Amino acid sequence: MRYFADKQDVVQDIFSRYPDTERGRRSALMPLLREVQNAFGYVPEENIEEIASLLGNTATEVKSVMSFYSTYHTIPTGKHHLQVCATLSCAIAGSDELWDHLVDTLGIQQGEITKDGLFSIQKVECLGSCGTAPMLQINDEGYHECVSKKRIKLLLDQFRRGEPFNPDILPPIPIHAGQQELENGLPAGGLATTLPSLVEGEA
Amino acid sequence: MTQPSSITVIVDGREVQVPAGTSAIDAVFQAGRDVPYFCSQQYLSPVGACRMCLVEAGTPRKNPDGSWILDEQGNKKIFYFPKPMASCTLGASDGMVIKTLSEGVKKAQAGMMEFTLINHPLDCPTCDKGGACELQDRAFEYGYGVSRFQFDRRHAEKHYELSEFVVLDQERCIHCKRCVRYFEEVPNQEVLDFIERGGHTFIDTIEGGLPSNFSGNITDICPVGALLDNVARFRGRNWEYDHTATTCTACSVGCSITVDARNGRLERIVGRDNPEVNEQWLCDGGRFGHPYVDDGRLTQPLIKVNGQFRPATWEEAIAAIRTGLDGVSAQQMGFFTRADITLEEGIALEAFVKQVGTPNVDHAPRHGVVVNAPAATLLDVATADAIVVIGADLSEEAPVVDLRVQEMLKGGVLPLQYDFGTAIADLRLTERMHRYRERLAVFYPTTTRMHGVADISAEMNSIQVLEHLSSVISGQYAGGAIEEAAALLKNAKKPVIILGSDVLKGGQIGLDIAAHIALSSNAKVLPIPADSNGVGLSRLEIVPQQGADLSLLGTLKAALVSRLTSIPEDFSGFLVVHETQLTEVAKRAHVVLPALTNYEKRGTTVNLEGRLLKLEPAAISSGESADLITALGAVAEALSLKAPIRGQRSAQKALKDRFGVDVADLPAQGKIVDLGRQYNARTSKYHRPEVGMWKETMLRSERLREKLGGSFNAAVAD
Repeated sequence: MRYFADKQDVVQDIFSRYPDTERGRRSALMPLLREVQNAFGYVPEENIEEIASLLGNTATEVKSVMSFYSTYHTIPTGKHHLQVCATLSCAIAGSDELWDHLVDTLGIQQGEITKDGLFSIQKVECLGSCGTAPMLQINDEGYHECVSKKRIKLLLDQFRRGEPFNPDILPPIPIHAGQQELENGLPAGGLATTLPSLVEGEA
Repeated sequence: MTQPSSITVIVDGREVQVPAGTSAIDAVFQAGRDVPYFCSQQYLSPVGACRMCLVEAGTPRKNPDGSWILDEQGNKKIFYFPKPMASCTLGASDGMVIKTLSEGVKKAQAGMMEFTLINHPLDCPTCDKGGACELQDRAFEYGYGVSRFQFDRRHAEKHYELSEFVVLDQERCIHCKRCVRYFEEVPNQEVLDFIERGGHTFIDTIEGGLPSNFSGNITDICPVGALLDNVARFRGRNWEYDHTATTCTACSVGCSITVDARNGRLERIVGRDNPEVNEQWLCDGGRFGHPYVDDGRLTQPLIKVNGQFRPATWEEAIAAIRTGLDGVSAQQMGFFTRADITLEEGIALEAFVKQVGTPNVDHAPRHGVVVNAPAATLLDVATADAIVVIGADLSEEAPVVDLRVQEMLKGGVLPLQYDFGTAIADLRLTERMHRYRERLAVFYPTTTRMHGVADISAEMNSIQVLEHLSSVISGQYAGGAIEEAAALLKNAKKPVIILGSDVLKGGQIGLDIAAHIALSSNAKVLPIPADSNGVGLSRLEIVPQQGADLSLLGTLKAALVSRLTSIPEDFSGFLVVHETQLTEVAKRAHVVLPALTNYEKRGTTVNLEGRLLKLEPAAISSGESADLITALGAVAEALSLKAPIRGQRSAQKALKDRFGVDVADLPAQGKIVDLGRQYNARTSKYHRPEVGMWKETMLRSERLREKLGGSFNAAVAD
């Protein structure tokens, strides 16, 4: 399944951000991967090859870059991909217990999806929210913090009812001024003081 | 060329002069000191991945007024880097002070060693690399000897076949990245890379195996036992092998190799450093193509009695030959050999046929042509600023020439040579160097690997290419790739034209056109001979000047055929075959004499540049097998003659008288000698060269055929 076959404008847009040289084009690797993952929830093997041919390098190289980052998935993920932080602060605060609890309640291991297709779980390294450990990230949507068994149950039930996720905090996205827009149409990036609050309700 | 400016570096108190641009690690070795290293490799870019070559380094500094900053004693004050530095990626500067023996350095190196060994399985007793392992040696020299790591080691796949020829033990890998860099930098195939990260990193490809032709080299450069030669795996420990430094004769490049034999069996071939020929690289054919040596070898003469072969002694064989040659005149006898014999065997053959008085002598495969243009060396190829390849599938016909062309594409940067050898970390080499694809033009009737890396390429008939190229050079217009190639030749300062079998088989006309093109564009020419010693043997009178060539074998009454893979069907006379195996040709013989392979011979071979290279006999047991000199001696005895050249010494003397070169005293990297006049004669289909990397002889081995996927056939030029 070729993903970019009918998306020449997307490809053009991504390539236009980098120098038009043999080396420069290689930089488009990450956004192309992200594009595919946003569409499928993971990057299928055939799309790795597709990206390699777009960039003019080998699939091994694409796979190498991709496997370096835990945020790219080679296997399908559930509708809600729960990424449990397992680094020091969270580990001390009980991320192991949280993980075991998730494995028990959902009946899946890392790399699997629940039968209803809703959930998948993954252990990740520090997400930079040590003060609110243990915590987890849902897809790219945001953080769920100070997680307890009760909070997890509420969250999972909420997802099962089909309700949207209300993150405690949005994940920080490094962006440069003028290059991207927020969902509300405001320009992203710029000085910290001019940034609109990422957390809804706060000024 | 200007001499590169020299700088002074002080290593452990010793002053040493090195050229500007030298890396700190090379300065250390030039000063006669040592640091451990794993990731650096002479012909690869230094990356500082293993962090083993840590040293303390510092430089003097100047005041704003240009005077040196001095210490209390009035000496130049040395400002040390705040941390130990990886010397492979640190450029040496004038006045730099490097310490390799201080307590800090020892601690840093030992600590790094401990870290490297954390996840290493330490299965040295069962590891093929044991005894020849850089990690093992360095751990002994620089490690603590104990580990403080008390937890589970990383466990991973231990028998992961990257290809039929290369096995990866993921646990042993220390992530030095040599193999990954090798594939990108040397053959320009980015097929291997790190997958995952941190302690979980492993090497893998998702291209479905390693590409053929140059994959075996990663087993040589792996500093640990992670990447292993699957042909030699588990067949011997390093200290059990008899190592023989010799030359590969699988094709005409003449790569330097070390042949490792154990208990009289050839088990392994590894590359040997020769900066002027193959650097350290081999093709897969040369490296893995050896199992035939022990496969069904003839170890004593065979005589056909009532249609059946029976083993015999050499004396019985000589008697049988005497009977067979009874009543056959010299004019009705012929002597035919394969063109990979040594120069010594060649001159013995020449002297013998003169003594016998027969004009019927020939060697095959050969091209019946002479190239009247300045010859290029492999260093010329590597440092050229334009290369036009015509009619050659380089990666098959002369694979290592392909690698030298890849080097040219990277700008022809050759690592510096120091007293200790080739630079360990030449800082001019980097990862993903720019490839000057516009400097390469490739023409071949079908698409070759080279087409993919060249900016100028076309699938064209070679004679057509030459004719068009010649007319463009003479001022006409041809258009397309030809026009571009002509412009490339015209504008280059050091152009090289490489001619392959598709040109050379076409006869003298094509070669004269090629010579015309070369002379008009000041280009040097590198023709690829039909077999490994094609250049050397063409200087001897062992081509039929008046007599019968190989295709006319049928007109003779008796013949000696040495290791030829095909001879005319219509020959019905008395046949003596000198062979290593009982081949189809040998089965037709009346007497079969057991032959030595080139791994077992002492002698000299001449590669495609005209470089004389030494062959040394490896410790392989092959019974009563003998070289061509001895086989000719047997025929001489049967004819009641005393052969003029009966051994190495008389052959060497004859060569010295003939060419003025003492072949017993050749330097390790060989020597290019002008051997003078070239003899040639017309060719037939029996002279067609094998143009594939895997040769018919190699494919006699069942073990190799299995690895190549059953029914693999050697490619012969049509």
